[in-house]
Amino acid sequence: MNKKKRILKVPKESFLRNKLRKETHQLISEIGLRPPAPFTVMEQLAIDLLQRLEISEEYIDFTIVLIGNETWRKTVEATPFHRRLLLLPQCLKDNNSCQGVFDELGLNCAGCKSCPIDDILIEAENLGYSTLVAEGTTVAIGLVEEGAIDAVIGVSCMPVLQRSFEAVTKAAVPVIGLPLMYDGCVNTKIDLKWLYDEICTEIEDKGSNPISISGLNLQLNEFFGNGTLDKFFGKKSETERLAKEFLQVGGQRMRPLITALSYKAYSQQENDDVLYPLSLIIECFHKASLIHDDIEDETAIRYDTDTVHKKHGIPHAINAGDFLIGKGYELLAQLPVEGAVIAKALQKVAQSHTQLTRGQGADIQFNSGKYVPGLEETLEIFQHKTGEAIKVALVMGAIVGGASNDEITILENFADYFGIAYQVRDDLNEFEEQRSDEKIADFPLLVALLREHSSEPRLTDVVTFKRQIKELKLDEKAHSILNSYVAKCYAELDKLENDRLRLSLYGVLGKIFKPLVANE
Amino acid sequence: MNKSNTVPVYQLLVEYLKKGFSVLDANIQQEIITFVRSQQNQNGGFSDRAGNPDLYYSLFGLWLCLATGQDESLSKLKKYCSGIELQGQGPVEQMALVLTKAALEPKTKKRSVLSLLRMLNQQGKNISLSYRFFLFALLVDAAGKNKTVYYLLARIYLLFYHPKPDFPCSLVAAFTYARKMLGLKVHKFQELVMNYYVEGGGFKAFDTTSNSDMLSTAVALFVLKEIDADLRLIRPATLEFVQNNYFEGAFLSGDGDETKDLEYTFYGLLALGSLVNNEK
Repeated sequence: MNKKKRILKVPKESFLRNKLRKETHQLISEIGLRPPAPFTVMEQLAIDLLQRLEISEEYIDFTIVLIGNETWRKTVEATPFHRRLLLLPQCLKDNNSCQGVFDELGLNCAGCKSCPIDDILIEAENLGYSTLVAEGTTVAIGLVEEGAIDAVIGVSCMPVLQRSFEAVTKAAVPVIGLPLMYDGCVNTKIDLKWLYDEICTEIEDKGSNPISISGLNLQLNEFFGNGTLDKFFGKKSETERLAKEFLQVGGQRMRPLITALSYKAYSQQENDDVLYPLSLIIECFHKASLIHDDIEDETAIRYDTDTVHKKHGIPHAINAGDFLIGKGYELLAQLPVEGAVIAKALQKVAQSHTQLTRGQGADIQFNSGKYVPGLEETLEIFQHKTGEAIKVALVMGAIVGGASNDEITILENFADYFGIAYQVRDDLNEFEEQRSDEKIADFPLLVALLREHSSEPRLTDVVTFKRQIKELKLDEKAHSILNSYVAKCYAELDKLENDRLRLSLYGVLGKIFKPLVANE
Repeated sequence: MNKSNTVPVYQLLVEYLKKGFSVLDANIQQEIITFVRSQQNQNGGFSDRAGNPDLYYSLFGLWLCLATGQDESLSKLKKYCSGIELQGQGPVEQMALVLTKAALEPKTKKRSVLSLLRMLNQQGKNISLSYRFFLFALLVDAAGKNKTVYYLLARIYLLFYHPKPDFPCSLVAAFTYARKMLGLKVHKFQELVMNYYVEGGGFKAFDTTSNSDMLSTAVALFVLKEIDADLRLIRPATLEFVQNNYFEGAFLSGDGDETKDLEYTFYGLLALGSLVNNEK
């Protein structure tokens, strides 16, 4: 690639650095480029800007970094200091006299003052930053994904900033990068005034402040884990007790998390009296579907324990599932929001319910071996089965949060593509794993592909099936389908006006589809 | 030694700031006072660019308060400094603290030149040798005792020393000023300083740099003024450069950096004070 052949140069003159900082700030404010911006777009903007300013093209990559910074500026500035990480490179230290020691997280500065690291750390920590002196951005991205922090101000040499670009973009990590004055891995230097300018600004801006997914997750886990659920469930019957018990056990609580996320992103006045019941409604519907699916699929184990029907018998299980559906609708009707909002949400939930059962019906037919759908139909089943579940979770939060109809349509499209991509990835994961109990029904997409690409598909046993898939390179075809749907997801997200939800979902996508998309 | 050497250099700098401040319009004077006050932290220290109280920036805050008559701010600063120990501070902060205390508490016991030298050598590796030399000279001048021998040694050293071509303007100007203080000829050095002048602007930091900046301009002008150089030809352009870099109560660095800070405000007033056409 062209970018890798270029010399990664930082202007030595502060005049030029400051001029480019100012110009990129103005440019991005004018055109409103939103993060995470594609590299090619930023590259073209950098080339055009340097040409307009009659500045040497040797500063293209430096300018790209500045443009990237400007796209993220609002988000980083809206992130409270205590939710930010300052990442410094170890090469700032004085190799001859540094008294610091290294551990798995990097350099523990001894404060010997032989380099500027200690002074910088003190400045940042006084403001409330978390700090780290380590190489590369992997740890920083990990910390964002874990939810320990929401934004990063990172100092690094140009080659490392460039190498980190893809990972940072995929994970949608809000980041401001400061290049070292020159490359080389020892005794490097930084423009301290610039660094202090970057770390000192904090602006209260709810519209740009990133939502901490891990913080929200923790909040929901506490809600589902402790006695708060008692408020919504009485102790009137065994059915109620059983339903509540199943709500409390296991699962990633992905759906209530998505609902809470979209509600928080759109809501102007967040209200826990809405957020918690809303999350519970979605979890009630989800858990009800699991109980019924387990019966239909004759699944014995879920969350490392016996399924409800296995433990309590099919009649009780069906009844508990029905109770949860009723409970979901009851809670929805009682939600402390305007009637029109409830009506809209109700319509979506009911619509989703019917779609889900269609998807499940087709799945049952496929599993029974009575009917093998074609590729298009298989993707449609994925959309109904998984996409619908994500869709209802996203859209419910958005409706109650006050999202516009246009935003809701985009979220629905996103959920459709996400559901398909998720199931395709699931298929591929199963295919690439070796399990003793695997069966051909575990790979619906690959079966559909085989039927489409082979005049003599042999579906007799898994070994033969897998060999045919490899011979015809249908797994590669599946990868390309996956990548196309992931790309569609990103394209839909880019249409969203709500930046907080867009960036959160970018992060979710980056995390879920990271390993496979990286194969591109 | 020259007459101006009878007062510490920092006091001379403050006099220049006063001159610069006095020629400004009353509204601008008020803007500068407001800006300086806004930079003072609740604990009395002046803030750095990250917004934290900082001894280095407090030194510039001190000089600006002295020049603009901010007695209340000076009391707060004195209280802040009295609670800070030298130990544990970086070299720049240590020297800033000693200089600040020397100004705020003139009766403070002077320090031996050796102890000041030790202070630099203990923890001074993070700053360049030239800057260390400059700070040390300022420190000896303001807070050192029994300086005569050291001045003599410095005189001998400077007699044979010649700045290198890659030295920054401010350092060449500092050497020039040191020669003047010690009674050495400065004519050739005046030419060296003038080499950094950018036609139609101010002074630039390095020979290879193309743009002027406030720090170099202020230091060069101050030194040129002190050695009685003829500034008439460069006065209009440098004055315009300084004026162009005034922004809402502060002077900017002049290199496109738009953050207002005390350090550049000090340099802005110093440059203005050096351009005022009256007797010292």
